[in-house]
Amino acid sequence: MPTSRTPINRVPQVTVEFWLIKLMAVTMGETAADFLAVNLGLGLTATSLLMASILAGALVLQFAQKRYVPWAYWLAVVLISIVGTLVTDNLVDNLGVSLLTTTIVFTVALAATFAVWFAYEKTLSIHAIFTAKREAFYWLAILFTFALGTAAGDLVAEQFGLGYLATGVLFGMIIASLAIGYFFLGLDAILGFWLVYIFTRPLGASFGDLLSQPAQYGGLGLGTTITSLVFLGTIIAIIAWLTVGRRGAVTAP
Amino acid sequence: MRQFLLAIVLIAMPVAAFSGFMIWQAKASHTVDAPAANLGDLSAFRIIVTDVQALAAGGDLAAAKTRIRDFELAWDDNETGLKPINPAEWHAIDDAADAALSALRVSAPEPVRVNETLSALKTSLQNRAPVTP
Repeated sequence: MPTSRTPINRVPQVTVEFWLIKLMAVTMGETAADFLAVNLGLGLTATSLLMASILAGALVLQFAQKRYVPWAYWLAVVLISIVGTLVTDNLVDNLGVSLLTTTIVFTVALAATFAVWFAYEKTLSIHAIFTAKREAFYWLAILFTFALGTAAGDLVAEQFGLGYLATGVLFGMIIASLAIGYFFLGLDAILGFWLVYIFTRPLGASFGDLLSQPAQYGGLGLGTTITSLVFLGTIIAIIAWLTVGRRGAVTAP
Repeated sequence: MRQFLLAIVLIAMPVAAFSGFMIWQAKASHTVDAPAANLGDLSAFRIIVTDVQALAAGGDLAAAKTRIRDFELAWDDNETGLKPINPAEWHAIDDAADAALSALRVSAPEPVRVNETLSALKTSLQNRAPVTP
């Protein structure tokens, strides 16, 4: 165990498992938000309030860990994914804000978060989340990436009339291009990380739709309940493996 | 600044390639000048609305409220498939459905309002021509 003098990063290293769980958490967020609002008949507003309060509880737990604990961290990510989706759905469906406006507003909100974060901390590094203040910036940025990813993904699918498969291919290509930039062209790791974090939201949503949607629209017809359960099971399995194997944690930069 | 330019180029390249491919594909299949695709066969939704109307006309608004939930679930399940085909028409029906749902779900539903919103919903569904493959 590190001594108390060694700063401990409170969020995970960015590895293959990280992106796998993140993608699945995103899909879960989309289908779970739908399931709660419609299948359980809670309605959009009640679901939003309920999930926001559960998220607040999960974040209290995560901040209390003061180090990277896989279940607490990923619980917060899954819940942020759900709440981020609900925030956008509320703005669009209940308040009648257009997807274009929503996309622009969240882009500005995310940029402002990064600007304030950088002004206070002089770094946006995800490898140096040592204090509660930096962690707060980290989670706020993550909430906005989910909201922005939802809005931008829906905007592309609606405005350009693309199906979910084509949308998935498009966002997959953007992520591949950013990966090439990072590995071969010297794209900054932090910038690349946050961009990919935004684009995995629409990619994950398309992937989930592909599995859950009826075959008449070219999906695999698994339905949202089964798809959600499969993803939830896989996330829990990977997190159990991470916890037992103590992988993915990082102690110092 | 160099980093931001690099990021923009990295994002723009696949977008351009993808758009180019979509345009080429649209031209190849001559569908580029078919802007308003219709939503296809919506008869399953019309059947539910007809049921709800019959229940409401018979004065059983509680049963109508139960039956219209089937519409809500089916409509939501098909959102991802239907919406991209024609977002404008999808939103028109979705708004009509929201009005009918809230008319039935207030604590004391008004029969006149319920009938109006259900007729409007049915009209919005009937505007769609049957799909021609």
